[in-house]
Amino acid sequence: MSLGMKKQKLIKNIVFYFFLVLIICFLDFPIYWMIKCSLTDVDQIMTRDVSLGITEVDFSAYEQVWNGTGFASNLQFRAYMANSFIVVLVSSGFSIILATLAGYSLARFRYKHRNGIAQGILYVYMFPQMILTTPLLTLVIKLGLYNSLWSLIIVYCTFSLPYSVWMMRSYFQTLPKELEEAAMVDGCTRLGAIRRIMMPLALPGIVATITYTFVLGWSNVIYPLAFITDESKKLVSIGFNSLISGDMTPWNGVMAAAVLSAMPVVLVFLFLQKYLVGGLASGGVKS
Amino acid sequence: MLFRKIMTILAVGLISTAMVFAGGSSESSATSSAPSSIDVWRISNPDENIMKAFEEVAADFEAETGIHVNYILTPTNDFHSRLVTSISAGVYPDMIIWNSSPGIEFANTGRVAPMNDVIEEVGADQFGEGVLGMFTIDDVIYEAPFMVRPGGLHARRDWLEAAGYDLTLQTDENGKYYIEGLETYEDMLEAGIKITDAANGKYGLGLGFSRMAFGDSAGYVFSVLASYGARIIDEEGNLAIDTPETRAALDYLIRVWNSGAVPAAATTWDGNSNNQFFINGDIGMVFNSNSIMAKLDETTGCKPEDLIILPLPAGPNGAWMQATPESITVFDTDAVDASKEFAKYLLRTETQLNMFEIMGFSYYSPLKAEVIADPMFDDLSQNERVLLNSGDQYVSSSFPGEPDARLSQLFSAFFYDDILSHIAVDGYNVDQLIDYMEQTASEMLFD
Amino acid sequence: MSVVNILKNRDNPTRYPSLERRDNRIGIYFLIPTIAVLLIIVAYPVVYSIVMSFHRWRPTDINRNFVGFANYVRVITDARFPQSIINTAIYALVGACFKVLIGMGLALMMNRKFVGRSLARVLLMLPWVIPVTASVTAWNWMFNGMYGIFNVLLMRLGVIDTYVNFLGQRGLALVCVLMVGIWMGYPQMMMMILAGLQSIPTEMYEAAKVEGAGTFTIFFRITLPSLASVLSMTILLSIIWTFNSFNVIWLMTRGGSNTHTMNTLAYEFSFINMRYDLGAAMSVVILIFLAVFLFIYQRKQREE
Repeated sequence: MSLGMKKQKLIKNIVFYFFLVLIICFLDFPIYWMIKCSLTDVDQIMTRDVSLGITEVDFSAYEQVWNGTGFASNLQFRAYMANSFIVVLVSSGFSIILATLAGYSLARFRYKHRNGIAQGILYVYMFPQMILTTPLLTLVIKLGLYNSLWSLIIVYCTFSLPYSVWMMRSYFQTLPKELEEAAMVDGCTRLGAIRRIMMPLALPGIVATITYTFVLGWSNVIYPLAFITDESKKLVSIGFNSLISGDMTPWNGVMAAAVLSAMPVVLVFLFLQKYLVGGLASGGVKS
Repeated sequence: MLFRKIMTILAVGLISTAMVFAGGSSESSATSSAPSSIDVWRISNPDENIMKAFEEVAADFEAETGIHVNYILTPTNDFHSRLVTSISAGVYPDMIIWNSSPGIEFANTGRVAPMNDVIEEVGADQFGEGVLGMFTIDDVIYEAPFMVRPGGLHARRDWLEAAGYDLTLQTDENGKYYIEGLETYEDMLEAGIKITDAANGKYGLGLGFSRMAFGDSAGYVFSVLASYGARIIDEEGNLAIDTPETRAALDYLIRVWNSGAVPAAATTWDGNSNNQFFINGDIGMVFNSNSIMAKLDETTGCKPEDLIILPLPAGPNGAWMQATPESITVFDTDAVDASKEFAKYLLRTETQLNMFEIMGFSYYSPLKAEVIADPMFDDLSQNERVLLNSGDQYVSSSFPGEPDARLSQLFSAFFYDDILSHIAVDGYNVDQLIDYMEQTASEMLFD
Repeated sequence: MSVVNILKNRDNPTRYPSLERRDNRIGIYFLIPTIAVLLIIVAYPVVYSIVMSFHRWRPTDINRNFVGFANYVRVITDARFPQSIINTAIYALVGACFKVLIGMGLALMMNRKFVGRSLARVLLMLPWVIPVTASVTAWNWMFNGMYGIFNVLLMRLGVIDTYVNFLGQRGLALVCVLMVGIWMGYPQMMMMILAGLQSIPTEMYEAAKVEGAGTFTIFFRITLPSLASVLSMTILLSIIWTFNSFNVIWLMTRGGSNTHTMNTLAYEFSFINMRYDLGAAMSVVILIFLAVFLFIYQRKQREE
């Protein structure tokens, strides 16, 4: 490789990184702004002389939101966090268990209307939540689950279950069936083969699916708004709404609450994103 | 191996959370079904002192009666839709303390407990006739008046003085306060234009022309309509929107928007924006409940000494302001007796005095005669006196006269807010507005 | 999401010749719990909504009479109805278009190997990962007509001389809402396309390079055709998700400034106007639109 080519490559790289950084700055600006506002005093937010950079770092808004003191005295932020975790984890977990079975079944067995059912499940995922909300509310009431986190756990399955089934089905389709056949020849039962051979192979797919449903569930708004009125049972996605009430909206507090509410999903995503893209892609390559 | 480990962890996690949860939910259902606890819906208010006042009342009440009060706090913007969702789902709160007259609105459900006995015990003479009238249909009192969030026209003393106004408070022959040159809605608009300095982001009038401002915008439109003598239905119960009075009021509202004294951003304001921007020093005049006073200090854009509360402006039909008192509505649940006990407790003079002791005369002001007569309210500032002086000019979501459940539904359903957003966003003229009002009202009231 | 493989393996009955019929019965048992749950939480509500849409059904009133198509007539003749369809079409088509284009561009960038790739990927995914309520709060504040940073910046740059009310003007409001929708949606498309890109065998690129093909030729001759099936699925999902999206518009404008889409209008009927019957009728209309769209899509797919 000549020096000129090396130079050319270097320039190419510099140009690439330049554009990359530019794009990222542009697209993540709202998030930067959210963080900036959460660290500043309200006076510095409600002014026309606002500066673009971070001029002060003041964590008091975070403290008040987290501890429920000061302007956030009617907030139970930690309870909202816990509630969101419970609802999202339990419903994603429940969905993935059912979906692994169903996805495996749709991918591996042959029976009538197999593809029709798979397609139907995909369409269910495309349903507008609007049409489900009012009837689900009556259902939840009938079951005596109004104002209970169980209502949300069940209802979140309306989107997490069909998605998980679809995802797991496609994942199983990419796994070579020879492995489990070999295991069954060796005397394993079908269930044994699934448990010993298929599940470990499907793990990246499972993790990817859970990550995805976790993100979806964490930011759902319609259902918690309709099914929960009890302050201590609220979820984080609607919890900080009550800050935007009263006479002075503490914008730094609202932004701090927004940052805090985003934290868990970002962390989950940060650790599991490799699976999310990898899980999808490896499936494609292997088939 | 890894797989099994993860599955085990997952299973253990699931089971344990489920158990924690089942425990939690069974516990809560036990407390809510027992009549020894009542669920009370209230507007969430971030003001610490108000929170404290209500908490203390609940604690004292529990100490006295053993009944636990569980407050359910909901932000203003969600309050109505949540309430309707909940009630349509058959879940009734035991009690609501709110200022949008839910007892009248839901009277048709047959689940609102009449409060006649409570009022009788407290003494009907303790409340103005108009106040009780707002909550009475065919002699059944559906809500007990609790306190009022006094509304007033908050203005910048310094800006108005700079524009040449003499702000001396004067008293007319009826004992009503007035300030010369700022008596009518027309005066208010003129003053608003004079003090506007759009280039520097200073606007004379802070009125939310928005459908995001639940309550505030509607209240403003309502006040203008009432002051101009407009009605929705006449004595015979027929639609009576297309009148010269309504047209005059709508014409006024359109001129306000076109005057440039209202910031363009007002079309996206929410319920707090007007107060917020007033406090921040961007706005010259706002209609608001008396919560601004307590928020001003040396660090805010508007300093405490800059605030003057003006007597209510008048239209051809007098000066009316939409401000429904906060009322206590009790639903016919298992806990109806306990709820009524608490209602009576809340209406006791010493309870209310204690509450004012804690939260001061800022957000709430008293309705009960014995409370108003207390020496605590003798020593008021001019602004506070102006607020108390306009107490008998409040109208609820029904126009002066008989309350009508359907009218309060109109109020809740963004009927009045949408008049403003149609003016500002869609550029409707008076005829189009009348069409909109007639169509929507006839559908909501007669369909 | 995981479209790559599904589309490749679709309908291939000869794949499992060794499995017995008895075995297949186990498969049905595996499927039963999922179907049962979906019947309860999806099918039942849909039927319920349809029933509700033919009745007078309001939360403040106990009387529930059968009214035939009255609710549908009322919904279709509503002044906001035609606009909501136009808005939904604009929102879904333009939104989906930009989401896929941006997603495609970024996926191509992310498909290179470079230092800091996973960090870049996370940063680019953030708009989708952050809860809607949180990011909409930030956007609302940025668009604010009194102190929003966009106004401040445009003013400093001398583009405007008085503050613009972004979310309060017809037209402009829809553009803003659309922008935020695209911002939230492109990462999903980026991921799906990236997964598709990574499944294209590298040998194909190498072979093309040996033959001296340029970047553009490679993109149009190899990348795009290989992505065809992924892209068609991506675009479909993107359109439908955008079609269904409700949060962004409701949280930003409440359907004001002429930004109502069919979904926000349905919500407004049900929960603001307190007319569950009208809301249900509107939902059924939405469902019909969706069904027609999917039907056309499926026929197109079969033709290909």
